[in-house]
Amino acid sequence: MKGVEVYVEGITKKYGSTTALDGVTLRIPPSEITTLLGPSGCGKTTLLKIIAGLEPPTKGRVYFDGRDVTNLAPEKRNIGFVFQDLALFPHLNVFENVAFGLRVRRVPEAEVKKRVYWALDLVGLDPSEFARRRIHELSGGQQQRVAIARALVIEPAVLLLDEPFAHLDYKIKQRLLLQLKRIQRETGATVVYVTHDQNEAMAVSHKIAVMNNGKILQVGSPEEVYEKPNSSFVASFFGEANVLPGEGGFIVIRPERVLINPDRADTVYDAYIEDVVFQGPLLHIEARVNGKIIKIIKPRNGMVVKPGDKVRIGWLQKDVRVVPE
Amino acid sequence: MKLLKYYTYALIAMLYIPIIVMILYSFDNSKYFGEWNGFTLRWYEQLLHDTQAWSALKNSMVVAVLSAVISTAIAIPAALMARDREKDIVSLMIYPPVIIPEITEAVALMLLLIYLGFPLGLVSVLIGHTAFNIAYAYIALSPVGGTGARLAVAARTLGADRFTAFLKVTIPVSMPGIIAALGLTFMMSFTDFIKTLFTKGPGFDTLPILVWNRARRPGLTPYTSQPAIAALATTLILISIAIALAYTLYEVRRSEKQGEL
Ligand SMILES: Nc1ncnc2c1ncn2[C@@H]1O[C@H](COP(=O)(O)OP(=O)(O)O)[C@@H](O)[C@H]1O
Ligand SMILES: [Mg+2]
Repeated sequence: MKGVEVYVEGITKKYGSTTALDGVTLRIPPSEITTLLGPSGCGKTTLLKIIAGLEPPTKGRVYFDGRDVTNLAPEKRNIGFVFQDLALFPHLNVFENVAFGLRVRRVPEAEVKKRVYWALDLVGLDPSEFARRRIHELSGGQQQRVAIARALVIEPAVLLLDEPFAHLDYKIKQRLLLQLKRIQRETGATVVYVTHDQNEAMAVSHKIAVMNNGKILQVGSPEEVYEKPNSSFVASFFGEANVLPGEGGFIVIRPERVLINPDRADTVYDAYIEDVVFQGPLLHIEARVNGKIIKIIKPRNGMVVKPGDKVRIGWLQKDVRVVPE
Repeated sequence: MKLLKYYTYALIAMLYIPIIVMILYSFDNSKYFGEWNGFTLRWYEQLLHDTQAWSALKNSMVVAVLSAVISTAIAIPAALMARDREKDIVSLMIYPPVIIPEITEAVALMLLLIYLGFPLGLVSVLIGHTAFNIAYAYIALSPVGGTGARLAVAARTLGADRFTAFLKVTIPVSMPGIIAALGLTFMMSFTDFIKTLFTKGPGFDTLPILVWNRARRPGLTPYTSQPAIAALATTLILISIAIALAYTLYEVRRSEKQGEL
């Protein structure tokens, strides 16, 4: 299966006086995972619904592989949608939930069974154990898998996921994220993944679009966005960052790039260690420079600093990023 | 605490004593209320041949079934409205009929029907019942309405057109609410007295109206003796209990299958 390329062009969406999306243009490459990352209320769900055809845009167009689908009904777009609240059908069992999209397409019964079992296997649910279960007899993580299987079984050209793992425990979430990546590789679908969690975004994405206030601020691979944030908002929202006033706006320096007692650095300050927190193999250090806190992250081995220590901190110019706002 | 316990018992007794006494006297082999002459089923046998009672039962059933179906059908689209702000306004507008005194509704209905020159009879009673049942149907449906609409959207992302989504998802998902709405409106209509009294024409009687007609002038004919009236009223209770029981059984079986709503 080959996913489609999704292109949204100049999308604006207004709800009364609220502007949920403000002139959003984004190219979503085929057969990759693109993440919409941004704080709650920034318009992620709205953009997903417009791609799915569940809401009409106030302005702008949506294209699938160059074809204008702006006015196409959702059922004709060949999409899969995993809703934030899952929206599983309580009156149907697991098998019939997953089979729903095949039945409305009038797929022959033998083929339905084959593909439902394939989809359940794909998401890691043993069909012989789960096919006949009722939805309310499943755990949260199992329901999440059913929702993904239901969206996948129709082999959608685009799979849209709206914060599908938001309410799950950390461990289950990690496992499902890995599974999602594997499923995407195996099916070749275009995946649009929505989250407000930067760790999920880093774990899953080929490409990240950082959103705020109905606008897309930056698009790029996780490495690009992390290394070259184009604004202090992106720098702080995606990864930890020290944002300091500087020439022509602000300078951004990542905590792991701050050096302690460096032999060689382009910028050096005298600092006091305020706080040291153990986080597994890493130390999260807070240092005070001229009344301002600088966040530092260092591997634990060999690092001996403690609160109250007087140190010099600094960084190399190549590790500094200047942003206009 | 003991006092509270006895208070509760007394309360329950007050609720049931009149009904129990009435049921007992419907088996009383005497023409007068309060004079026990031994057990008999003759008042119930007599009901079997009571053409007036049969016709009143038929009228009650016709009005209650039609009113339940029509008011529920009208309330479904309103309850399915997904957009919350509009839904709030509808909810706000729909509750007043529930708290307005029934006698006021009845008088208002009667005045309107007379003003319009509408012929009084089955249709006027049906309109009266249905107009107010819509509010009750809406209330019974609103817990499932939002879910039904939300899940219909999910069905459409899976390739179902509007109609299929409505038929295959919205209706079955809303079924507990639809059944509740049908049951509630049927009962409201079947047991209604005041609105019926004000909107019925001469010669059109429902069961509650027949009970009232006979109870206010008891004792003149075999059908209007006090134990005969008690038997008629007991029958009315039995029908209501049967419907409530059927609904409860349905709900218990459904929640075993689908979990709590
Ligand atoms: N149906 C709606 N009616 C009115 N306002 C809405 C509606 N849907 C979303 N909004 C508003 O649009 C903005 C973006 O919402 P949403 O796309 O759900 O954000 P996100 O998914 O990023 O949390 C919010 O301010 C929200 O209140
Ligand atoms: Mg959202």
